[in-house]
Amino acid sequence: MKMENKMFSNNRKISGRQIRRLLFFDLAGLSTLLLPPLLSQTAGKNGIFCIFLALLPAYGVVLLIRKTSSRMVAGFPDYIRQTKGKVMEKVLLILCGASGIVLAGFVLDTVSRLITTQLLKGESYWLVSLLILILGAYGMAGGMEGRARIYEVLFWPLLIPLILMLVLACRDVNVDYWTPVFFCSGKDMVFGTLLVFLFYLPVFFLLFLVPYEKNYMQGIAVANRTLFLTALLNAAIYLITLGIFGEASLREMKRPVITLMSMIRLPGGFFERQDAFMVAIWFFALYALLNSSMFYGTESIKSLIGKKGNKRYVLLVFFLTFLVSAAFYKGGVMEW
Amino acid sequence: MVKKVCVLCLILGLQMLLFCGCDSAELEERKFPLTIAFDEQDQGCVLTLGLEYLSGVAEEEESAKEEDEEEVMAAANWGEAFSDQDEKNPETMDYNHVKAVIISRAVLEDKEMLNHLLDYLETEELLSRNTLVFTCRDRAADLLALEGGLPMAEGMYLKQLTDGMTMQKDTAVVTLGNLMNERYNRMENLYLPVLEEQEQKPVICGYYALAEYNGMGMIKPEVYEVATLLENKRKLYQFDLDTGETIELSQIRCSGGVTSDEEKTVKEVCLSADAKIISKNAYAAEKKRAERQIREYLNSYLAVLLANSLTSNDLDLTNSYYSLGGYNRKLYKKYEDRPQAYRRNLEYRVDSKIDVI
Amino acid sequence: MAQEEKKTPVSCSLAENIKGYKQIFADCADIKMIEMKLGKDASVACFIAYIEITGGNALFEKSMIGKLLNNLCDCDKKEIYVRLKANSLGLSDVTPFATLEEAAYGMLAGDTILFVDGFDQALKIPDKGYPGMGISEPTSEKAVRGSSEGFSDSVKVNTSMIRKRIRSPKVKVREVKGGVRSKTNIDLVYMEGLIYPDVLKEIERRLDRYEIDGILDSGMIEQLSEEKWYSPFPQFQTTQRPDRAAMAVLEGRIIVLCDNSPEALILPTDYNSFIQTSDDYYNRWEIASFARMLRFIASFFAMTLPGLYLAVCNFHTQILPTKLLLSFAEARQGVPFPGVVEVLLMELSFELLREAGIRLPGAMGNTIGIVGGLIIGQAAVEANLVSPIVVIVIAFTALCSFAIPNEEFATAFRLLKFVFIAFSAWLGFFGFLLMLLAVLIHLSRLSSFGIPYLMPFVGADLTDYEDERDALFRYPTFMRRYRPIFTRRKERVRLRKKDGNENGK
Repeated sequence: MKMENKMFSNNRKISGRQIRRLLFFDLAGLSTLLLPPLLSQTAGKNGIFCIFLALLPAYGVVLLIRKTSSRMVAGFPDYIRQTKGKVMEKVLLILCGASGIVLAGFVLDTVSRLITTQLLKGESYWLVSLLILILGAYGMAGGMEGRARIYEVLFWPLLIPLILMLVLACRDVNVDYWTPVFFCSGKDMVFGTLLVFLFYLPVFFLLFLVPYEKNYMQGIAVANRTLFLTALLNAAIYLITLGIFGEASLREMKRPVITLMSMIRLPGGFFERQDAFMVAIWFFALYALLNSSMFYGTESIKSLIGKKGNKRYVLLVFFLTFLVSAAFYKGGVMEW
Repeated sequence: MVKKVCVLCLILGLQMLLFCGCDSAELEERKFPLTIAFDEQDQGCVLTLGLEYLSGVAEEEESAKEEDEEEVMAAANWGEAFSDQDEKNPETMDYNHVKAVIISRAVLEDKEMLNHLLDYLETEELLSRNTLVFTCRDRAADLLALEGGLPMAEGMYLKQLTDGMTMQKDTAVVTLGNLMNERYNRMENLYLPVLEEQEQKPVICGYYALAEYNGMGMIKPEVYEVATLLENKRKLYQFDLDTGETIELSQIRCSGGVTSDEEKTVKEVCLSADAKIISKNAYAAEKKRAERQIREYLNSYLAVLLANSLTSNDLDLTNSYYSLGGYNRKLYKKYEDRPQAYRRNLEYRVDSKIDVI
Repeated sequence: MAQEEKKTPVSCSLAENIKGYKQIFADCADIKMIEMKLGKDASVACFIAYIEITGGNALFEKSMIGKLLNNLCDCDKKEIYVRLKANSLGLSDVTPFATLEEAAYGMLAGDTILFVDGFDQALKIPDKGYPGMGISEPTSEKAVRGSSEGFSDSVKVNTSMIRKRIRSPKVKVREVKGGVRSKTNIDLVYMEGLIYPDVLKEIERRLDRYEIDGILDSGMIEQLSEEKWYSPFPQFQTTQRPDRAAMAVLEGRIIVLCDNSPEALILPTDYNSFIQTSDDYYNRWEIASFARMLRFIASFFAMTLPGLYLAVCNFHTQILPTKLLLSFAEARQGVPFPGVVEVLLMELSFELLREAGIRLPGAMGNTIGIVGGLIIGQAAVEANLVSPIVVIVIAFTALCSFAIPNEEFATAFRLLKFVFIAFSAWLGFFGFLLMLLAVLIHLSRLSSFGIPYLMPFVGADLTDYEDERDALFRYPTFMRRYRPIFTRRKERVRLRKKDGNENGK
């Protein structure tokens, strides 16, 4: 509606605060869940340093995005077409679309497994993933603004309980489990850093935000801060899980942060265990990443094919995401 | 729009019908075991669940309490035992509120069986990691039969027994999570309370020590108290001097590094605490003298106990191995994954600093 | 819909006018038509028509028409026409009509119509109008502090109640007609300079979007003007309180008043507006903030508590303390229904009680609450139809829904509660989360005349985070210096200290 376009709502623009919050969940959701055991396997007690070291290449990516985007007008694919030609544009869009869909499939598999192991033991994996996917498609129908608003609202309601639980968990941390530091090889540290950097890769999504950001440079500026906050959260979770479970035990666990939530005793005794409630944090966070990946996958495919309309692309991405998730499930990628 | 909503509702409805197999049961269709006993038998294992009648647990009234049930299942392995147990009962077994598990000594000492049990519990996530762990000399199932004499369900009783140990911190209590961690970490000492029956009630008669996940035999309660004292897991510590006074230590802090010369590794035990003289006699009036006496007593007592524990049980009561990395990197590198070699060369130097209040 | 209406011009011949008018109002026993003579020599015939209940012989002496007739009785024939044309008595709201049909509609608005022989216009002269309920206390939106006046059925009275509170010439009232046959007066009240002109144009466009035979209540306007008709969440705020409406006008919002309806519509709106009450601003900020937070929490539990109960008891028993859980399990012993049936049974019973309480007159309506709640609930527990905990859960949920100040808004939560129950019974806490996210997605996409529904929790930077000062917490009055997002950007300052510093410093 014309009236709507003149007013602020539904003008397809999001603010710096919304970008910051959305990016935070994109980065933190998967990393806080999966990183501790992986990092324990690679870098051991030095994983804490890898978390911060990985910020360097991540900041480099953001710097690259900033330099590139200052020259963008209509968006990243358009910029590539103008500077590098149509072929490069197509290659890039294929890469982005494929990586978006693969990431979406992986995230869908992760969250479906999380639900079927923590909340609904014995329930059908397919049912759970299908329902999440339907919700993902519904979320995408709201566009960029709709997604950004959800996480703007959910930011503190999710973060405050998490911080509270982590503070309560500190009581049981044994600092001796953190030592000795710098007792692994340089190769392990490098692998650990690369591993963490992999989890920071969703920062590339910023490239696609040019048409949506009211003040794009402001959006880029918040990315560094968001990366740092994510690193802080990951570091806190890593130190706490390491301090409670120990390096060798942490290596063997699948989702130590959820296990941690089940062990924390809340004062007052109103809840016996609150891991079921805390799973909600990762459900929402992973849903954010799923939605982002599907969204960017759809945008890439749309730009690639070039035809108008939204629904068919959403359906295509929906279908492909489900297939990729099924492949991950059957392939047992998560069963390390 | 209306069509879309109808299609969506149809999809959801079909899913509800076709995929529904949701593993839910009403509350009254569930049984809540509060204690589980794990025993070994020839070529297999025995699982005993301590099930309590609802009104007995909820109301804690003797009159309402009926005879409690036990469910016993023998099988070739733990997975079979649990699944056979589920199949045998029309009600669903809900293990979310198990308070305590009693693992018989036979199972504890059979590493393969213990590993298999912990594997199963960890994979299936049946029990909470905060579940208390006990052991016993003979059959664990025998202890579950004691519930008749207890004022409440045995699981609650054991929990209260542990909660009632106000002189030690919560970190001193061994949980299933500790056992699961130690299975991989293999760095620490764990002291599992040993239960036995006395006057129709389970009481703690000693502690079974596990060092780096290996059984080291039973230790007396006094030794356990010292072990928790030296690991900073104790709030209060009471002992009697040779002169008859009872001393209570509080604000306990035990520290000390690990040093080495060429042949020996020396663990320094620096104990500082506030001491209160509970029973009064003439010596109590002299603060400095009392402090000196307490200090001398503690130094010699701890030194002797530590040395005896090391020689007889190969047990380092200070549990210093797991913190070696923080104290001495050189020694950590030397003894990495070799805790027994570490203990072979270990000596203690005890010093205490006492402030009589 | 009515076809193109016939237009019969008012004739100078009174006889023709009488004939045409009587034809229009054939078989209308409630319409009175009286022929009279005017002038010193009673030479000028005239004819008045009115709805019996709105006028009456006894009132003619005191009413405008009576005064006019008395005045014209003393005039010459020529002077009568001059006075009629010039409206020399300076009667307010005298409207000349050129056609009989317009005159008929004018009379149906509750006024008297005067035809004079030789005068080619019919005059609508204001009268006491239709009987109405008058000003009384609002039936909903009770407040501990603040005015006890509520809107009445008359749009003119309602408009005046707003004007009484804002005595500014910038308060504008635009009148439109709604309903082809009912010709209901609809007033749009707003403050010029504060509103976004596009919003006014949009509401006018939406009011003109449909042709309907009759508008009988503001609810019909609401339903015809909503953008997302399928949403359970209302996109107009409703109020019966003139002070609430006046407050909204001062915030740059538009009030829609409908004749014969005591319920005013306020637009645009957002989630936060539904949680605010007028006495939030009359009470001190501490208690207002506490009450506000309570209402937000209540709105959440009104929708989710029964679903949460089912999820926890059927799927995630590890959440509750052991003794509590076993006490629940014991309480359920002997109950023949599954938990979800129990909850649905109690919820539906409660909804029935609520409906019955509304429909029953007077004291009986109050009694039914006591009878239903205590006796039926107690009897159901003792008969083992339901467990006591379910009664507590349902009762608490109901209390939460009553704490939501706006009835229409509370209805959304009442309806969604059943969906939450279904999903939680099916998939436990996962089903609960799915529904919660679905509701959030829906709310994030919802807007009211361009304002995101989740303001100020989203897009707060649009107002430099000032709107957050009147959301979860209500800051002290002197700190709330700016109007909310509904107001035009340049007119946001509403409070300043008298030393002239805009920031109040």
